[in-house]
Amino acid sequence: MNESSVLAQKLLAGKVVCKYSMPSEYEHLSTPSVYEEFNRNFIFLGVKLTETSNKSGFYLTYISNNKGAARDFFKGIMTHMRTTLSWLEIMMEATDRDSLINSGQDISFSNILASVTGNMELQERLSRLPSSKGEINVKKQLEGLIKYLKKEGVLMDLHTELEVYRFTGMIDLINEYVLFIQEAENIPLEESSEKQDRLL
Amino acid sequence: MTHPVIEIIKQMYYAREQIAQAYDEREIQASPDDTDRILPLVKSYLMNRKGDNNFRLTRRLNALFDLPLRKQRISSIDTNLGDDVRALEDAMRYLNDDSLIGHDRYETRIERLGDVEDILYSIHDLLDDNATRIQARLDNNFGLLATSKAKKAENQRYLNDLDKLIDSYNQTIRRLREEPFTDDLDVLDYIENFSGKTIAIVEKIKRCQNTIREFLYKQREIELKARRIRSVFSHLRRKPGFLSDVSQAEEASEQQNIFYQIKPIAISAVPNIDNPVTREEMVDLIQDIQLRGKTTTEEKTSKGKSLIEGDGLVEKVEDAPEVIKALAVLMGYTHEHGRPVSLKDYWSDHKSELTISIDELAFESINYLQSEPFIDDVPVSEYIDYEIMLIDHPVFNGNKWLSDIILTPIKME
Repeated sequence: MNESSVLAQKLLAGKVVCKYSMPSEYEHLSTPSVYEEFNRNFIFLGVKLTETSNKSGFYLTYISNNKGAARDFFKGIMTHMRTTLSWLEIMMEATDRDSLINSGQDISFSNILASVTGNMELQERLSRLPSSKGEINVKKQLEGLIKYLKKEGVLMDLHTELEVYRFTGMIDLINEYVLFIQEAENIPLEESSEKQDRLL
Repeated sequence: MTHPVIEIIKQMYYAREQIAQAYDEREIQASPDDTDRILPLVKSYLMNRKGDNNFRLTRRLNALFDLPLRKQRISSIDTNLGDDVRALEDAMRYLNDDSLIGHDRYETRIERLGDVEDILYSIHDLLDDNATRIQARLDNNFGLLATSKAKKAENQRYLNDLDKLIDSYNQTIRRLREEPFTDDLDVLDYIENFSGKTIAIVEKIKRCQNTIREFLYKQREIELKARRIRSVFSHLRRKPGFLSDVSQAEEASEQQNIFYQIKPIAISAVPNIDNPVTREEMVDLIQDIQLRGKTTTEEKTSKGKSLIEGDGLVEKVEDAPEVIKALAVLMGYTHEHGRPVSLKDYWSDHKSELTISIDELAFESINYLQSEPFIDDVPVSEYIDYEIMLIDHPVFNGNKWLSDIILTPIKME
């Protein structure tokens, strides 16, 4: 099977072909002629290539405006949203709360563990995650979370021995889902941390 | 006589221990012996005295060590060209000094013109050096991932410094277009040459400014998005049940491309047995299956007939007519094999187990499938697709004969 066939199968399996987790495939798809060729072939299946908002990955979307399918997909996402928000908050607080977590961003297990163990609130949130079920040790809970995120394709191994991981293009899509909910539900913005710092 | 620079280096060597300590600890509390070694450096403006016995390195000496030690985290640039412009004005005054007379006049003028040119070169070098330093800093440290507050402050500082530098450069150019610089044709040539050479540098500075502005804009965008995401976290804490009622978002999801993502599509294809390599692999595979089959046949047969049966669908049609039950088993068989199945082939292979004729099975199947039936509130069309194969009737033109029905399994979640 040639490279394009394997790549097409990955896309059809619902994978995000991201420049960090699949660099050669991403580069291949970034070639305009290849991109067009894929889209020409996919048109028969009623799907097309779409890029993530910060152009770090490709995935497939339906061409037809099947609103029911969009709602179904949205409902599917919402079933996991509470868990998603919980781990996203832990990761943001443990890295830089004023910044988005982007694809390509690296995290080290030891840094995250240090942040979580030094913050009771983060520990509490971590312990409530499904990946922590039945585990009382914070390190083990965090290992469970990392394993879950790797399984979901959100994290990839960067350096196994040093336990350094990298966020894939999936994180960009997750950010988009959460931003969409904030906008669509008109959730008021919290005060910026700079302003809070000034007040303190 | 020793060169003054060598003299300063000697003083620094003599006080090397004290300098290192002051560099590490910001300040040194000096003993009388230390003070003897440090005082020449204070006279050379390399160290400052703070109180009776305390000494610090001056900012310039500190910066001198920062550079090779790579501690210079932030590039600072000289943004004021005013001193150089004043030096130019002085040089022009010397050049136009009427007291120059006699046979030395020509040589002296050449020498003083050289001074003017040197100062112009020095302004050019200063601009070039500043632009290169900031450019290098941006090239080495840029990236959307570096969005810390310190990074933001650093970039804001570069932007302000470059703005000041460009202002100062514009003032310098304006001043150079006035008297006394315009009075001397040789100086005018130098100025034109200087202006030409600095165009590329000014362009480089403007590129740096644009890069930083763009970066700061992106950084503000990222911060805003992070704030929006944090707002969802806070909202969830205030209203824990809000995720169960996001009707506005659900409605709006129809307009969002991100929610038109495909559900994973499984691909299965039949190997090409005409290909010798594939055939060889197939022979191995069949042998392997046969070997395993000897030990697991019993277990396999007891697992049930199909995916549909596994899903409890046969039970749902238990009370249905014989033909519907047969059809349910056929659908299960289709799913089990994961590929389109010909009803005709199925009947031929299973006729010993079936109590109905092929015609009955075929026509009843069509009637059943065309009635858009449901099993357990799920349309049968979500499990199975079908295609009726017709052939032209040999005698009655326009009429068709039922040839076969092809049942295709639809992937079940």
